[in-house]
Amino acid sequence: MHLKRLSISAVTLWLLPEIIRIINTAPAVQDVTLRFHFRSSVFIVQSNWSILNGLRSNLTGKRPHIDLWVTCDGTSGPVSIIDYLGANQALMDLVKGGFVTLRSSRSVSEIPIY
Amino acid sequence: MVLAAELVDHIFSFLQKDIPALKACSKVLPSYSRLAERYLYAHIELEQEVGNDILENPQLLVHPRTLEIRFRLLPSHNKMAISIMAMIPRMTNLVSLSICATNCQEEEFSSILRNIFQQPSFQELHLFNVFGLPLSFLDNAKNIKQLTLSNCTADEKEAFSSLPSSQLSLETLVLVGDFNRDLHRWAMRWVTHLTTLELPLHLDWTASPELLVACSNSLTRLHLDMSNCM
Repeated sequence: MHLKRLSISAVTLWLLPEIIRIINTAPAVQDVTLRFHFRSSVFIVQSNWSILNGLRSNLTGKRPHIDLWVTCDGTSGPVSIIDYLGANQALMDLVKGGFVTLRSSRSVSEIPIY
Repeated sequence: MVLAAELVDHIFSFLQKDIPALKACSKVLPSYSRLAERYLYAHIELEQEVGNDILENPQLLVHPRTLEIRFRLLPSHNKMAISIMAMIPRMTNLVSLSICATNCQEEEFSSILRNIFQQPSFQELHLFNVFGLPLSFLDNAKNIKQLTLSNCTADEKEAFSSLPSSQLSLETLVLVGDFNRDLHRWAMRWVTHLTTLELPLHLDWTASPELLVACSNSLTRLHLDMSNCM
């Protein structure tokens, strides 16, 4: 398995445990792009982002790095989404630890797949 | 003062996405018109005006590098698109072809499609909402490196050959839309050298692992779209 870059699009964090399981089965993956689109900003704040901590080191000896893109209906733009994400302590701990980078975009179509 | 052609050409290269500006420039001098042509007709989304230009000026056929044909009606009701498609073999620099919303069951259209898929210059083929696609046509698209099949269906009447007659050079496969067993079976034969795969995951996940296993030795990039998994 030579897979180095994995990208996943989803619309609900209910899938996050399954997504983590998929990532953990890829032995050489180094970079992961997660693209979530929510119907409401409430889901961003209340979501259990600490599930991302379930990511394990793979055969490269490192945990894959996550680029996290979040878009949401009804927000005024990417800045406000970053504000919502910043209010989630578990997610901020992952960002400070260098495991996750928050990315912003106005719409899903503007987000690069990889 | 007239600028050297090389300079004008270089300036025009920056205007590739600004068609109105290129058109305005092309009216300044006859020589500017000729220089602007290769940028004006490099990326074509087929509509009436551009279609007429190409049909009336066959010398323009060397310029298109990407061509997008969007059918709003059955092929037989879209004569211009059929006429342009019949000219594709003369578009020797065409690298990317997109065909949107059509049905392959009409004989004239089907015959043209069979021919153009074999065009040596093609590297990218993007099919959106194409119904009744004869998969044997894709088997003959030997030079295609990037293939998109978005909401397409296969020709159910066509006998499915388990062994392809030639080797495709497919590197990127993008599958979008509902799971289609025939397309997956076709893809299974061609993904062994694939480096990039974009795949929707549906409630019926049974076919996806097979496809992933088939390309696991070559794949370096994978995108899973779980937007429909609720």
